[in-house]
Amino acid sequence: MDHFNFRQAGGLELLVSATLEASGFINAFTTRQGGVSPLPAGTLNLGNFSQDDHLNINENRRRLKVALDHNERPLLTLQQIHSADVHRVTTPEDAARASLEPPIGDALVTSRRDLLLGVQTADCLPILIADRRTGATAVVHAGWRGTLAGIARRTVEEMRERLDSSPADLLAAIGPAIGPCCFEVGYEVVEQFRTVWSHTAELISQSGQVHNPGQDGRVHLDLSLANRLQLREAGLPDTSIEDCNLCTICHNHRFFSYRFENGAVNPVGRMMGVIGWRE
Amino acid sequence: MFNKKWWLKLLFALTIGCSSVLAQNDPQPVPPVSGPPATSADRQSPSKEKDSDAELRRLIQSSGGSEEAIILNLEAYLSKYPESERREEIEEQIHKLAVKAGDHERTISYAEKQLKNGPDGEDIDLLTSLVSTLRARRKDGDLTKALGYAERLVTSFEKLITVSRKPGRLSQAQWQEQKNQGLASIYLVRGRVLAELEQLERAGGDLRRSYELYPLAGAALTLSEMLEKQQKTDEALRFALLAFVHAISGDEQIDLKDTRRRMSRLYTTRKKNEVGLGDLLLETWDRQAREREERMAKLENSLANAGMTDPFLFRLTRVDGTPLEMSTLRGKIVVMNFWATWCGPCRTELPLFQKTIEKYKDDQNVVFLAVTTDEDRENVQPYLKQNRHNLPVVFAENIDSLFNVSAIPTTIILNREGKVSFRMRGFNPNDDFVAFLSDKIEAARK
Repeated sequence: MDHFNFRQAGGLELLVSATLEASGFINAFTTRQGGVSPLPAGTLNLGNFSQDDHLNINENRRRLKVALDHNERPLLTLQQIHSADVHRVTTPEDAARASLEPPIGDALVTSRRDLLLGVQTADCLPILIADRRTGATAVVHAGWRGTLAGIARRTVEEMRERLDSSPADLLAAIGPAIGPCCFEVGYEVVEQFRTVWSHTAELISQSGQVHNPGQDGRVHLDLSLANRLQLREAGLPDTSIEDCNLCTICHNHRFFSYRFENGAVNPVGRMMGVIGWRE
Repeated sequence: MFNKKWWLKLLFALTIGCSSVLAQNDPQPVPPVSGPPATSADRQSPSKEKDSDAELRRLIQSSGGSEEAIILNLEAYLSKYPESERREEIEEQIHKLAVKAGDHERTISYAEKQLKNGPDGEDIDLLTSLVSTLRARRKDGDLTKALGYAERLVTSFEKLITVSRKPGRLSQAQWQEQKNQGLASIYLVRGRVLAELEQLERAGGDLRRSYELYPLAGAALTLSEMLEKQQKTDEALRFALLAFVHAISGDEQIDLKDTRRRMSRLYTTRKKNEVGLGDLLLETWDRQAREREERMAKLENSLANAGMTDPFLFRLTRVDGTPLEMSTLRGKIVVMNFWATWCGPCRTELPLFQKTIEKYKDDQNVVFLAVTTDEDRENVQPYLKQNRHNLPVVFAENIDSLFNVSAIPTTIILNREGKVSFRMRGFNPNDDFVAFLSDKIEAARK
C-alpha cells in the first residue's frame, strides 16, 4: 500500500503517490529540484514569502503546473497560520476569490474538479486527501500546532459534513516532513499535547535519558503518527493512509528543511504538496 | 532512519493499547546527515511482501491484545519467514512486548540480538534495559554480565554527551542540567550493580558522583543501603531521609514504605524511639526544596507562569534576558502581536507592527509587545538583528496558551480593564495594517 514513486517531469523531481494516481488524482510532493530560485541556485521554492523574488515563485509554480500537465488550472494555496482552520471552495466565486487572495487557514477542501490545491511546507507535514467516489480533494498543512488543534481530523469532518464524503472512500497520502528521528520538542510542547490528547505517550520518544522521562526537555515528537491517528479516528481505514516516511532533515539534499537550514536567519525554500482531479 | 511501515507500529498500539510499545528510542541527539536517497527501488518486492504483510496483520490482530500471544505469534512468523526483511523491526517489537510482559528471558535475548544488529551496537536504552533485567533475573553470572553492560553503558553515554550538540531551544544551563541528569542516571545504573557485587568502594564512587551531579532518590537509597552495611549509621540515615524526600517531591518510584522503615531503624539505633525523626525529615525536605528552587531559577524554567489565569500576574522575559512584570502594564491598552521567526506572514507583518509602534511612541497609555512563540529561543536575537527590527520582543512563556493563541500570527488588544477587545488571526496583506490596527486601538480606548 505504501507506494510512492520519484518521477522526473519537466525538469522537476516529484514524489507521487501511485495509489492516488491510480484512483484518478493528479498529485505530487515537490523536491528542491527544477526551479529558478537562488536557495541555492536552481531550486524549486514554491512558498510565497519575502525572501525570494515573487517572479521566481511564479515561474516555479508555473513549472509545477506544466510538470503536472495542467498549466491551465488555478493552483489554490493558503496563507498558512498553524491553525486548525479549514477553508472550503465550492463555487466558481469561491475559487476566483481564493486564487486572487490565498485564504487564511491550514487546510483547503474542494468538490471542484477544475482546480489544483497546494500546501507549502519545509518540515511541517503535508497531507493530500482524495475522495474516490465524489472526486473531492483536500490539502492539509500540519505542523505541531495545527496537529495539536486537530487539523487533519477537522479536514475529514469538513469533507464528510459539507462535501458528502464518506471516510471509507477517502485516501490520504502523507508527504515528506521532519521525522520522529529529528523532531525534538520541548517539555512545554509535550505538556500541551498531554492536555488535549490521550495518545501523547505514543507520540513521544526519549533519547539518552533513563530517569524523569519527559521532564528533561529532550523529547522527540512523531508528527506523522499523530496525524495518522487523527485520520484513523476520523474514520479512514488504515489501509487508506499512505506515508512516504521521508524525513526532511535526513534527506536534506532532496528536501527543504526549515530547522536544518536554520530558517530564522537563512532563506529556506518551501516545497508543495499538490492534488487535483484528473479529467 | 525511517520506518517503511507505520501500520505495524500503529497496529500494536491499537491492539494492546500500550504506550511503551510505541516509544521509540533514538539515542542519537545530532540530526543525522543526509543518508542515501530512498527510491522506489528501496521498497520490498510488493508481490512477495503482500502475503506476509496480511499474515502479520492477522497474527497481531488475532492475539486479542495479549502480549504473550503476540510474542508467540511473531516468533512463529519469524520461523516461518526466517529471511523476512522485517526481522529486525519485529524483534524490536518482541523486545518491547517482553519488557511489558515481564518476560526476563526474552527481554534479555532480544535486547542482546538488537545490540548486535544495531548500527553502532551501543544503544543507551537497550543497555539500560539489559542491566536492569539481568539484575532482576539474577541467574548465576547475571550480575557480572550486567556489570559488563553497565561499563559499556557508561562509556557510550560519556562519549555520546561529548559529541552532542546543544539543542537551540535549551539554555546553556538547561543543557548542562540535562547532561548531568543523564550522567547521574548512568552512574546510578552501574553503582547499583557494583553494590550488588559487593564492590563497595567503586559502588560508593559511582553513587556519590551520581548524587552530586543530580540528586536522584535511587542513588540516595542505594547509598543508604550500602552505608548501613558498612555500619555508617549517621550517613546511612542522612541518605535515607534524602531518598524519601526526593521520591515524594519527584516522580521516581522507590519503595516508600520500606524507606520509611529504614529511616526508623537507622534513627532508633542512635535514639531510643522515633521522637525527633519527623523534625529531621521536615528539615531535610525544607533544605531540598530550597536547593531545588534555586536550581530551577537558574534554568529559566519552561514552566514559567504555569497555571496562572491573570495576564497581569505574568512575568515574561525580554529578548535581552531582563524580566517584564506584566503588572506594570495594568490600566494600559496592551497590543500583543504573537509571531515566530519561522512564520512567513510574520515577516511581512512585523515591520508594519513596528510602524504602528512608532506612530504611538508618544502615547503612554498604549503598550506594544511582540510576543515570540519560537521554541528555539536562540533563533530570535539573530533574526531581529538580521532584519534590523527594533521591537519590544518578549518570549511567550505560556501567555500564548492563556489567550488560546491557535494561529501564528495573532494580534490581540487588551483594553484598560485587561479584557480582550480585539483579536485577529493571520495577516491580511491587502489591508492597510497600520491604519487597521490603529482603528482597533482607538476602539479599545472607548
